[in-house]
Amino acid sequence: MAVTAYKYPGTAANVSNGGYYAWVNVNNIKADDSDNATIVTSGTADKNPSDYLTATNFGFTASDIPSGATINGIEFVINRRGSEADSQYDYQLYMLKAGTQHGDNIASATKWPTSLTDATYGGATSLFNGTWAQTDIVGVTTFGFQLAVKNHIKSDSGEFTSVEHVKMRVYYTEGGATTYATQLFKHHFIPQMIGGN
Amino acid sequence: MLTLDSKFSEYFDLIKGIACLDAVTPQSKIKEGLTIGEVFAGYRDDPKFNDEWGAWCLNTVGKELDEKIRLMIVNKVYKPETAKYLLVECPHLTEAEIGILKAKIDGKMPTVEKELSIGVVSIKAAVK
Repeated sequence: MAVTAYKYPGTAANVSNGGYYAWVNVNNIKADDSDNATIVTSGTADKNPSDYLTATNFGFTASDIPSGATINGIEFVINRRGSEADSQYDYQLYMLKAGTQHGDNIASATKWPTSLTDATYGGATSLFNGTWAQTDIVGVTTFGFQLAVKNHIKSDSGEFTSVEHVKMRVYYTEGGATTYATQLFKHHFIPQMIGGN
Repeated sequence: MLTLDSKFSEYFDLIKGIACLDAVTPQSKIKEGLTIGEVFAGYRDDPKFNDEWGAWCLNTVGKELDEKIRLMIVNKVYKPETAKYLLVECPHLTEAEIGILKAKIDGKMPTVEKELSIGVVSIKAAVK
């Protein structure tokens, strides 16, 4: 099994999930730097979820995942923090297939820490109860995931939830036909073309 | 301990100082003399039941409610997110209630199921 390098999203957006708490500065999740996307909560964040922080357009190409490859697993990292201990948590976390939620809610029950920390979701064999083909991922700008959060503790004014960056990688197995063609090309045609056997 | 036969006004007295105004105001208009059973039957049969209300009720005043009222609410929880919330936050669930709520997340929230199985997060209620 092979795995791609981690890729950052090319597109980040706030998508309404009731419109109670919107993410601001969403483009800051596209790079591992010191800038954050944030929601500031007050009042009913313990009852009402945030909007979706949506990350798509990860830029996977056929060089990353060859045509015909079988997708074995998807893994992504959310680098995040909350301002209060034992309060902020994932409420809904879904993969997006062609821009639509697909598979299970993969939210964690672990509360967010108060300092920026990576949370890793999925892995080498995790497809989140969805079905994925190479063509759902490669060159598809609407492939990604979206996250809504909630507070456990009723918010006072000025509490915040931040995501510094997100990134994703994909585990795959090259397709048999592709592998054979690649081998044939590498070991037969190329040597022939350059005057080998 | 409140039962289905207790007056709804007793339940209202319990929540009026702690529930948010949006919830208190409509419940303050409920006809006097009705029992909790009669009013909660309305919640139970409401196709637009807000199971977040159920979670709030169990978490906040659940220990003052008897088994039958609690079961009515637990059975009505339909969102796996709400079931998960109660499992990890509500300190006074019974073993039967935990079983019902766990069934509501089974196969729907794989990360939470894994975290519960390996002990990364725990069920809050200490069942004796």
